Amino acid sequence: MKRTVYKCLLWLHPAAFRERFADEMLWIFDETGGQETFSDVLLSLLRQWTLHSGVWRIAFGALASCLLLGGWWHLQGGALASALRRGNPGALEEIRHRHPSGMPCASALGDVMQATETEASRSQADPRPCDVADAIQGIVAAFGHHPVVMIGEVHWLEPAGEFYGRLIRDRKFQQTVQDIVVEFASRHNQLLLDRYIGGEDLPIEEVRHIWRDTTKVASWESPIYAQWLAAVREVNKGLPPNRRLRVLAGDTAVAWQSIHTHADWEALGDNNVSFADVMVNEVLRRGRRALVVLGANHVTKSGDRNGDEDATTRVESRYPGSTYVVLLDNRGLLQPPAQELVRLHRLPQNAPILCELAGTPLGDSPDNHGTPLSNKADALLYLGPPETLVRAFPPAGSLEPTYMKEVDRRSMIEWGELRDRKLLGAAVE
Amino acid sequence: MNEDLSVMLPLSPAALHILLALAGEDRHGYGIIKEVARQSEGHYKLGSGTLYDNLQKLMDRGLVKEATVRSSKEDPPRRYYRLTEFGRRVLEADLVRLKTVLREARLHLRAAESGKAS
Repeated sequence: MKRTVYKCLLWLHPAAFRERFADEMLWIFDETGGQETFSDVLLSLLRQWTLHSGVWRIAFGALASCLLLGGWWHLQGGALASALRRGNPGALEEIRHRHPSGMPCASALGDVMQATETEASRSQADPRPCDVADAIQGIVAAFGHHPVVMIGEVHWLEPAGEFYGRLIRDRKFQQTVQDIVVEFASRHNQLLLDRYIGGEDLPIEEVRHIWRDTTKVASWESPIYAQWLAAVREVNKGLPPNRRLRVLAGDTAVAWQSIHTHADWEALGDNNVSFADVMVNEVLRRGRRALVVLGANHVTKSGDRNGDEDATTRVESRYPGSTYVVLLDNRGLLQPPAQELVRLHRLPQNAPILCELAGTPLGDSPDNHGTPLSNKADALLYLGPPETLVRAFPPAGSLEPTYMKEVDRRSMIEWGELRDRKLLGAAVE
Repeated sequence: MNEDLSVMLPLSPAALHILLALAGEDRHGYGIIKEVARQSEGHYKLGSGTLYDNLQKLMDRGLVKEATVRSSKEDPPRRYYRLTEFGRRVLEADLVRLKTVLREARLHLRAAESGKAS
């Protein structure tokens, strides 16, 4: 909506100015995630008409601007009212800021505000466990304040794959985000990844090197990853070249043909270093925005499970405040009291939802290691009740024997045993 | 040849920042906004309305011109802007003017300080 209003204001500029600059201004509006101020474009509108036109045009421009601004203000009121209904305390603060002398005169908003104040006083006794938003809207909104939004996933989950697909198909997401950093591709395959995501026709035998040749053996055979890449490729076909999503390989580069011993494999080092490096150099230094999907242990704000630095702490030390961490809710994450809080609050038919954690009872609840959840993440991503969080395995017999021979070799190097055969289940039979 | 640049001076804050942003390299509109924010350490936020309004003026006056449209894999085709030689001389003249203002300000403030101290 904000974009449409902005476009209308651009359209009201004199034709010469509009034809020359409107596209670029709209591009900047998109790049800044809609943070361009309307007062600035209104001033430009006024200046342009004053300089280049007669009085009637000024009057028309001003009138139309007032109408549009009024309409935008009214819609904002509606949006705030709806945010209040959803229980977003930020909306209440915004209204108080806008109306310091008392209640707003718009009756609908006033009613909702009154109801919210009542609800707020009621909730002193019965606090909400967390601040809930639609997961896609919540994630897109998080980009308004953080250039990097990280999802800490449990690998192979089918609902997660579906959610990633929905996320990248969301128009606002496409307008806000430029990059997607993934764990399931290694950096030596970036060129191949670019070619595939860019729409080039490549044989599957070549494409699957993307998720097969990573530092972690056979860890990305779940079809959700290949399907997500294919979805990004499809989405890109419908986007203009300058708005296409780029997928960035985050995992450490690896040449398996040169790796023969566990020491060779260990020498690859901590892949958190590589993830952080990609985020800093490819995203933050370039002023871009990225969705990052890694295993939960790579993204927690308090460091990894051993208390060592993970990808988030490494990025935060160089770009403080740049990341927003979302942990995928799963059976293993929460202690029973927190599970109960989540269970009481959520309605499965509303999933997927995002629970903001800061200053909420759920945020204060400890995880299985006793750490308050808000120390680990900014929000919890709820994809559905535990029984729906099933893993997507590769189809039975889908992994060819020559590849499995190589998987066995790599397994012996990484684990000293054929552990990956157990993980892959029927796919190797 | 001595040219009279005084008619172009003083530059408005927006024009000064834009010319400064283009002094190092050609940039597209968003690049200028980001460079201005960097140079001013975030204190001066240039909106796109102000930017293009000023760019139009600067181009009409020959201080800035459009450079060739560039693109690369990471960087989609964008219109880039370049500081002209004339623009560079105007910028330098304004910086000399600002230097004088700064020197005068320091002198006066110092005099006021010493007056207070005695």
